[in-house]
Amino acid sequence: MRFKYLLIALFVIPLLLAFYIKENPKLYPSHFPEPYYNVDSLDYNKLQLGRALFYDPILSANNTISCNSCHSPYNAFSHTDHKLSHGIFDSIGRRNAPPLFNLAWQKDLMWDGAIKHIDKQPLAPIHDKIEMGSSIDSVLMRLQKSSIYPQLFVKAFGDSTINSKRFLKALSEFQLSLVSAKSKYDYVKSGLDTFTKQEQNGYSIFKANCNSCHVEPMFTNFSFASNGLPVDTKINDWGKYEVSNKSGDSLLFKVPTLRNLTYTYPYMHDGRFANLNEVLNYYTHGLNQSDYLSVQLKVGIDLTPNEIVDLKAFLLTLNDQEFVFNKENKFPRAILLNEASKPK
Amino acid sequence: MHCLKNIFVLLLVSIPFLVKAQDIKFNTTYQGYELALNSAYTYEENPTTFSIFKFYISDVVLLHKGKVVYQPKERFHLIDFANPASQTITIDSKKRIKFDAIQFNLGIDSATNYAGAQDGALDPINGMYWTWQSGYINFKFEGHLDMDFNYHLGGFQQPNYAMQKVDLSFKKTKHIDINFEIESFLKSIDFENISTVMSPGINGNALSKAAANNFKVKR
Repeated sequence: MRFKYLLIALFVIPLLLAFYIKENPKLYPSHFPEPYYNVDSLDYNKLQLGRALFYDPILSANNTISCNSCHSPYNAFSHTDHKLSHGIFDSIGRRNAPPLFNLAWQKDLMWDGAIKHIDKQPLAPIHDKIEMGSSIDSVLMRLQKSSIYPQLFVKAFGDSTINSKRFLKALSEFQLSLVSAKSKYDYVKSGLDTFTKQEQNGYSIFKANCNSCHVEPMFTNFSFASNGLPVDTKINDWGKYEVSNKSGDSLLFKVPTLRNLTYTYPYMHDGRFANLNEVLNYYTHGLNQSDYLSVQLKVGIDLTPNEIVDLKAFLLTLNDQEFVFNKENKFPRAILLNEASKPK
Repeated sequence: MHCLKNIFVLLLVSIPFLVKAQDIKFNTTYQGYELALNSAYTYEENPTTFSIFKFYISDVVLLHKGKVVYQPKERFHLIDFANPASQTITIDSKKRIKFDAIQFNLGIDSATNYAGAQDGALDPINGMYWTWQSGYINFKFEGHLDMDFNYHLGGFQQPNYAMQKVDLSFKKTKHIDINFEIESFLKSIDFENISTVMSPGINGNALSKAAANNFKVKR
């Protein structure tokens, strides 16, 4: 009798385990560090609500600008081909919108680290007069009057109350789910692919010259640093200094990740470099020895033209096409287009 | 006989005043009278009005002989003089509380500023949150005196950690009536040179200290 139960248990436990693993796949591979935010128990309904909000211009004052206006999924959620991102009434911003992925590992948000928690981030573009030109109060009012959101809030939170905490939590849920971890580099790390000789050589060059700031596997150390670029006198953007007022923070900007570079041009906080060649040329031949230059760059990067080509080949292995074309992250047609076709 | 009566009164007064705790009430006065927002006043012979006055009070405790005897359930309270109901922090205790001092913070602590989305008093719809950077506005005071002035005081990262601790003791009062005197606040700051503070910094820190010093037990 006892033996029978043991036998059943022997079959059932692995089955349950397999089921559990299938139901809860980790969003990130084992070569990634532990994230700063927990992404193991993201809630599907909250995530879908957040996704709808992300793509809905209802967040802006005149129903024209949504999050994806500057953070397009096809560009790894950045604003490609615009040096400076633009917002409501064709206003031009001061910075190049950064890509949105692997945010769960980022403690400080924005180019200058002004935002300290992902929940609070949407308040910035919503209230910015040149981004969405709205306010959290009016956004909540518009959502309450909408024909789709009350039921999406019921699905996500159990009742139709629409408040700022739920609204912000839902947006976080979606943004935290944006994990880019399926580049060729990641497959090589998982032992499922191999680098070409050129990529492997580029990887060695990368580790010797770039990895001290763009630390793998996230390809950023999440710190703030100056790469020597002089301030653009028209934009007059002093980076982290503008938040802290500490002179030591002058011209410090967040070290950006090098993942998905193909999709996120132009580069730097103000988009001043149009392509990777310009960036690599700056680091190898044009580095500006400013007072603010980070220690890591003071020695200079000396590479031959062939080495630059190999380095570039490695950098392209960090593109994650699966992420960029993932339908689960895209405009939720079923939810938002339904709304548009309904008479008001 | 008269003398005896005086001694008796003196004796009564000298006994540490241990009264039953009542609700904590925040008031604000201008030149001794209760403030009316948007009313016409004069400050040093110049016409002035005050349009917005609100601030955060956090981690209130009542003390007796240095020991905490009562702590309200809610940690954070937004006192807004446009909303009279917000001026009172209810003391929810059936027991008689003996106290002789109150302690609270003017503003929001650093850890709470780092935390995720909040509701209640800390809901960003209350207009006490900087949106372009993380951080609650601890103290918001706006009006007109020669020109518009805007004091948005806050900051949660050193060296601009603006939250202030306020300690008040009760000796001659039965009520927990705490008053903020606006005229003495204006006199204690460099009003002529600082009319706008909208971000954490040196001015915000100085004004936060001045504000904390202007909370007094109402006599």
